Amino acid sequence: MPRQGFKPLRISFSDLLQGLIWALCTAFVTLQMSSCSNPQGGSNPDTLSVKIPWQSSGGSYSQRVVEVKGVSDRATFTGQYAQFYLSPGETNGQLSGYNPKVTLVKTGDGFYVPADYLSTQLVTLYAHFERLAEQDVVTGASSTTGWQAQKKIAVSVLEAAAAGQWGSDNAAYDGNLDAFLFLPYANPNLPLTMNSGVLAHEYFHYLFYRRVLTPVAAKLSLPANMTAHNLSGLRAAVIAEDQDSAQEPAQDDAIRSSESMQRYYYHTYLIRAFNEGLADVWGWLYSDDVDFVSRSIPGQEARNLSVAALTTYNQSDIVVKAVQAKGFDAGVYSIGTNSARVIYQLYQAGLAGSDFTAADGKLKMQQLVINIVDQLRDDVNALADDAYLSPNEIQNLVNAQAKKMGWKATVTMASGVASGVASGVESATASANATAAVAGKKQVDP
Amino acid sequence: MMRALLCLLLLGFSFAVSASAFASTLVGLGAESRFERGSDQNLDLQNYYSGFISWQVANVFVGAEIYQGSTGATGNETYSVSSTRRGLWGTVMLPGKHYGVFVPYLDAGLGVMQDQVTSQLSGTASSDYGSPQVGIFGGLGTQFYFADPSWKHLFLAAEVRFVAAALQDGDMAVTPCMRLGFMW
Repeated sequence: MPRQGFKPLRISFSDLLQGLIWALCTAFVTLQMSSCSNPQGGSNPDTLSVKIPWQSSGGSYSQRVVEVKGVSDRATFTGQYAQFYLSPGETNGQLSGYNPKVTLVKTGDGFYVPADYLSTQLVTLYAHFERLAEQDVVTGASSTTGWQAQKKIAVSVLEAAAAGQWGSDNAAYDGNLDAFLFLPYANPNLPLTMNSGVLAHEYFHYLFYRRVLTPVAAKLSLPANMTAHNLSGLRAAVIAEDQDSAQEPAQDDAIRSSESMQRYYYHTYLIRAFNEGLADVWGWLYSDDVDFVSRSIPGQEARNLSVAALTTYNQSDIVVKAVQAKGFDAGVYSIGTNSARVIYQLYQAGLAGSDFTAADGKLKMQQLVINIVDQLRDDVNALADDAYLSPNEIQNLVNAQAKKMGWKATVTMASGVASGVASGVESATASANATAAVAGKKQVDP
Repeated sequence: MMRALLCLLLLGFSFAVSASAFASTLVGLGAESRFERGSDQNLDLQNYYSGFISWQVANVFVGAEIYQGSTGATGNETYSVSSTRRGLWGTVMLPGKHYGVFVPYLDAGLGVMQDQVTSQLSGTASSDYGSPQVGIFGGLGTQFYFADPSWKHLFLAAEVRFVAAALQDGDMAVTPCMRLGFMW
């Protein structure tokens, strides 16, 4: 017999209430039981297998199952190597904000797959920062003062760019906050948070901040905000390091032209250049990708380390440039890239001269970089008050440190080709020649 | 294919049995908007579509419901990922008294679901299936009662469900849904 709607049962309000209470109790008990086997909420810092975008040899990327360890809270992917923040602000000099949630799906094969874009970024960041921290232990970089395995990492950092707009496509390490900051990525290419070279580049800034910037800051009167950003409250402005400018108090022209200010701008400019160049080396060594920046940021091909364009610089030219730029402009990347290419050339020469093999070469180069960093710090601290650090400091240290490590390989620089610095440092590297001598034998770059 | 065949078999069986054995049978479709706290702390919206069938046993309707919903792709041109959830509920529906044009009811379900994550990196897609998960929901709804005899077979209801379907992340989801069916 067809009915019209539900049968008009005679169920009282108290019956309905009883049913509701029963349903809620059942739901509560079931949830409690399920939480015991909750695969994302466990506190056991075991090893997880996760499927994420991962670099292969030569820098290409594919989806691979990799292991991560030390994850103490799978819901936020907090653990031994990372703690994440989402669009954070700053409170009392510390990052503040939400810990984003990671959504994982456990497959029948036992590995986990991030179920959304943000989760993929967080898991990938964790996996890389775990490996970068472990690499520090192997290379000796973990001896850095204040070094900790767990890093603070902020994603979707909102930076005030043009009026009413948020910045994008950048990453930075902030020494004051002791945190890695990743802005939203708006390009169609490989996201910065998945680019292993970029992650290692930023990671190196963390090491350089502790091993060089902090120890020499007083000596060179480096700006306090050299790696700092302006977080003031949740979703407030962040000025990314790679776009940072020296924000020292305004100086009039007379002061700016004084010897002490020239030295101040010069050293600020040069130290930034070395920081960027060595960070590019760290990125290449970790990712096995000599052109990792342009994989995410189109137009950065000029930072390809395999280009044979080495040069020496003239100090007076860089003084002029640094003063004009008040300590920072794109030229620091040109000097930095040149320094990085010198180290890349040494690597090629070392391979050719059998100073090391392809298997252990990267590790030895990382140890070389750490030695260079430490010697750079010592050289700066040994400077007389009116002295200038050599603009070719890195080039000089490369050969000296290679010799200390017992390698036969050296890099021979072209000279007298830095005249373009005053009008733009980039033109200097483009016109240079490169020669890498290995036991009297010349090495030609790819 | 197997799922579609199973559904058809289930439907045929239900029609055959319900015609003789039960006082009422209800068959219909539903559309749900599931709000769940996402990774970025905001409420993520997933749209689900379902098919359901219920039989009246004494004072309750006992039935089954299948559903599917997707997050849509997130990411960019180089890397993107989307998640699809499919599931089967066993349901119990307890109708109340008429209140004017409304017949309120309690709804509850226990079931299994499976997630599928599809990701794409540089044009190469891969798909992974999660292990089946157990979930529950409790809901409050109301049927709209049509007094006109020509609409007597129509079942139209609005419901809000509190779904602990994602037992894998321990989160609750709030799911307003509309249900349209045929009752005889």
